[in-house]
Amino acid sequence: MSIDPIALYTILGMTAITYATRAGGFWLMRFVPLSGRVEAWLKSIPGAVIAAVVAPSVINAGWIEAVGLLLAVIAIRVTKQEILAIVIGIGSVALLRQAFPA
Amino acid sequence: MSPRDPIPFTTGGALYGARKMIPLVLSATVFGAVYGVLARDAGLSLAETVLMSATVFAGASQLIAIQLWAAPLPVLPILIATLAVNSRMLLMGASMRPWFTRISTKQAYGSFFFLTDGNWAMAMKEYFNGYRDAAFLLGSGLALYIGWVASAAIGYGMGSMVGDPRVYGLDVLLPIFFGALLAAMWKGKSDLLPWGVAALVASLASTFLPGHWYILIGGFAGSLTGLLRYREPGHVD
Repeated sequence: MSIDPIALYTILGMTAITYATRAGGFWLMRFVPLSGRVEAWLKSIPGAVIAAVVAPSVINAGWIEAVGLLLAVIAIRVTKQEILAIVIGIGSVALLRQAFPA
Repeated sequence: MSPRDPIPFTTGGALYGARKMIPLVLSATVFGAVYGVLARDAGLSLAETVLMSATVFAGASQLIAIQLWAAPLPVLPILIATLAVNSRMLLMGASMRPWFTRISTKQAYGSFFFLTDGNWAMAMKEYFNGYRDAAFLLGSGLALYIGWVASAAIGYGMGSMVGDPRVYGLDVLLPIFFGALLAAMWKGKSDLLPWGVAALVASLASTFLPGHWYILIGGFAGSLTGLLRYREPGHVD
């Protein structure tokens, strides 16, 4: 069990930066009064951020991953169960990969 | 519910959050183990590997740090990459402002240590559906945290015995989770513009910009177009 001092400082620096990004957005918003307009912006963030997370991986995905995503989307719209949607999504990807090895 | 109603912060809320994270804990555990394997390959000690998971607790930035890990240690590039990858969480924290200003400062800033993509997205979906217990973020984050830190040590110990996550489709668990969550959050055509702009800008940024700023850039651009939906009270077009 050894920790190199430089490695320790690097990890602690990463920790500080990461916590600053976690808490910083909330903290910065103290200086912005919560008007109706600002609340409308904040309300738009979750969908926009999630779309920004997903889009590049969808574009780079093959047909198998696209089918898995489509089935998961249908499953959640029909059943409203996240766990079921995930199981259907990754299950179909795993099966299709078995059936059609790259 | 009026904005003046008190916001609860209960053990029940934390446990509900943890329960909602079960599939993501599975994925965090598998990827935590993969991180442990890669960290050992990169020359980190077991203590360094586990310490990083326990303090940074952010998968993408840890994997990038491991890729950059070399002797002598490129400290500044690692720190800059950490900021770039994790900058997206600035938007996530900002979006929680209306909810988390109504709990104590200690509860809010303590909970934020456990904010990750997955439990934040799930928490906001619940919030939009009327759920209010703010301990959801802490409980869901702790569930992920335990899986993430423990599996780093396990992966380090097991080495190459850790299998390929692709076999079980686990490598696509997160994109599928986010895609399904987005579908669940869909409220109608007014979402099309902010989500479409976010997706387009993020895709372009991930293709043409170095670093990992695309989520922050795409999310910011998309959420700003959401402002177009806003009408001043009493405003008539």
